[in-house]
Amino acid sequence: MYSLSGYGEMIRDDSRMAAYVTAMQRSITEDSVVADIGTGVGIFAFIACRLGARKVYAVEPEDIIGVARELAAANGFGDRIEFIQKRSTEVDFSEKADVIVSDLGGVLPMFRTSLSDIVDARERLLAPGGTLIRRTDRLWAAVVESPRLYDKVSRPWLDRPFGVDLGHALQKASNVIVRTSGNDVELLTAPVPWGAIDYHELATVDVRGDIDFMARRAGQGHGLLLWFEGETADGVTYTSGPGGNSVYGNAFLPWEAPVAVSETDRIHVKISADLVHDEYQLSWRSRILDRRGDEKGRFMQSTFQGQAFAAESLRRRSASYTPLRNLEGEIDAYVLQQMDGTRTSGEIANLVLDAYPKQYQSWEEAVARVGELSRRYATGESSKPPVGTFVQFGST
Amino acid sequence: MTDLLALQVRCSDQVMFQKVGGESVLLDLASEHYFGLDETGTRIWELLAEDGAVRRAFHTMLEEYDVKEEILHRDFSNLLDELVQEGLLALVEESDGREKNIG
Repeated sequence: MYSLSGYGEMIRDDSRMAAYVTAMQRSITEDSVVADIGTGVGIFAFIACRLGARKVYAVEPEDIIGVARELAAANGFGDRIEFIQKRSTEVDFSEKADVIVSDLGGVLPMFRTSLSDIVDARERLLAPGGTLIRRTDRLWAAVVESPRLYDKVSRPWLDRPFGVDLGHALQKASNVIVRTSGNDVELLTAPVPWGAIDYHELATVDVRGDIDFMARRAGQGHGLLLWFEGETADGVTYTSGPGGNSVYGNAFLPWEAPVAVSETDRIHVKISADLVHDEYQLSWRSRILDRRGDEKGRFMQSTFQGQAFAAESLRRRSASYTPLRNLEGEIDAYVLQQMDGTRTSGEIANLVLDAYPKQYQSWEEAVARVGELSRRYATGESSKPPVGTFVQFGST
Repeated sequence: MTDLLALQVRCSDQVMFQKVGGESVLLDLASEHYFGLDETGTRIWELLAEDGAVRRAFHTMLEEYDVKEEILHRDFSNLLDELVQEGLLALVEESDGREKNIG
């Protein structure tokens, strides 16, 4: 979920916007039905309207859709845009879309369910022969020198802050992805493509690549830099590559230790991005060889290695654990039981106050609890209050 | 019946492993399942990950832990069986290198 300023930065990324707008100009006609998946503040939906689209579906699960609605009304697009506050995987359109516009990735196109959401939209929501924008992403990598980024990863654990040895956590801390502008790195190798995602053909959402780098200059190798080049239409591309000040930034994958790289060293890297329970696990296995083939460094790294696990939490999550509901769970269960379509949240809050008087200081607190559970578990179908009704929220 | 000690194993390259205290968490990317190993299971996994030699891992465990050989053999065998069933390990007979199931 992005902040409003985050959406603003995306709109101000000229190369990104130019590539999207050019592709939309080529594919949207006055008879087009367009879907903007992950509409955010609605910018692509509005551009589709300006290009004459007959109907636009703007899909967004987050509350930012409220801003998009206001902006649509302010621009006179309200009658052509149908806003749907859901995940795209949960919606059906009355008319299939001729064009689906989306930008669901993050620093890399593989971000949470981004790829599976596009595959789902393509299969269910796109008209036969329809257009996807973006259509392909090409994945790039280079070996980089970046003392600043490496320090950011390693120094907190190596500097004995306050006289305490935190070095044990370094290995875990260097198995992370660091987002960077790419302005603070020097490339030790030429950029090499390691994968391609064709959204019209994509079947599997896991991405793998083998890379063979040849160092083109000597330096301290601190890790890998990854970025992508998106193609929105035939010959229309933009890149998030280093130095371009793209809104996406670059992904720095540190090595567990710096390696003195010499010119003509070879660096073999296997990268894989595997979707596991709606989050990508990225792994990077690097082997640095000198010109005679002697190994100078070897690292087997992954974001899994960087995850923090606690034995007690793991035990609680295991199949052999026998859970017993705590008081919080009891209250939640009680609230859910009252959500039978006959009571308002305020009425349920009154019941909660009676049943658990020690847990809540006020009715507002109880409404907040009910509201949170309602947001997550209520169907979304509710009778509208009469015009002019004063509605109180426990919290937002 | 397959001679347990004559087997050679190979950890799946789809499995990620992380030690948590003395215990460990394994993630199988293929099935998207997480698994936990206790302290002895973790030690066995580490030994097998080194070179895949079951005989060496078994004798190391016998040296490191105060356990009767037949009990270790039974528990070791059960653990290998489970790891193979879940696809975390592939078992290979030393003699011909063919992969096969334990049993």
